[in-house]
Amino acid sequence: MNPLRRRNARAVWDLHYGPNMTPMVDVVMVILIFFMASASVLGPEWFLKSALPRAQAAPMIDPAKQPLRLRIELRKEGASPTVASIDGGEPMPLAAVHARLVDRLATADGAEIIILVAPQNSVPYDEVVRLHELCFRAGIRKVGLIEVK
Amino acid sequence: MRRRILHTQQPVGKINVTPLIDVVMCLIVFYLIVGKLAADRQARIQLPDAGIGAPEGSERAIVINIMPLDPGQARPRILVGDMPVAEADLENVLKAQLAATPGLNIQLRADRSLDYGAIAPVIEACRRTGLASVRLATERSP
Repeated sequence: MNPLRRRNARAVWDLHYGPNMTPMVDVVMVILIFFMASASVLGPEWFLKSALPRAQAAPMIDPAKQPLRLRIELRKEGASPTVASIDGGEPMPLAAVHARLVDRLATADGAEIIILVAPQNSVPYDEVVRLHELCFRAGIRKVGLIEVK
Repeated sequence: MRRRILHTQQPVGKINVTPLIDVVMCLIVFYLIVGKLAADRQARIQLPDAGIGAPEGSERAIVINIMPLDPGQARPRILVGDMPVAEADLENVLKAQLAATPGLNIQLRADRSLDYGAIAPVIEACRRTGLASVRLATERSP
């Protein structure tokens, strides 16, 4: 077949000059599926911000505007469930902390509340994160980790 | 001498995309394998669940991975990024990275099976470094 021969439109279409797009489309589809699958398998991550307060002199501010600092100690003895104690108070299950914090927020008279979490070494890390979550759910934005004295 | 004239039946001007496809396929396989290895490394850490939190921001961060305990292992392995770091060296490593790039955040990715006692030294190292906060990585739960 002479390529310089004159042809009709059908013959030109049959020759189909130009790059074949099909493999490229295949590749793009594979990449798309790969990224969709990896996104769904790995899953998105959330981040809970936890402050690292240091012992230092409190700044001189108006006592009326002093934030209310609550120290929540997490304890776990043996196989018993983790308990929380707010400001050295009666130990309570972790699930009860949320309601207690909501009550404290309601009676705080607009004062800012800062939660200082003091977990014992035996407390599961999962429970420490759960307490952070409970604080954020209660509407408290400042949560920090401190050492157990 | 008569010059030989090569006649071809192939139309001239057609682009052969086969090598391009070969290269692209090789790249895809490469990235798939690398991605799988990276995912395997990260998949070993089961993050705690949380129904609330902030998504990962666009700012750069130092990622501290605290791996689950293997059988017979007393202390968990700590990785700063992909680099294993001893507990005692963590503070210096963090200080060096923060000196090189000030303003970095810390993302703490610790396995949910660990006790806080395994996390506490890392938290203390971050505190001694002078950081004001860390971001605890969690898995988004419905």
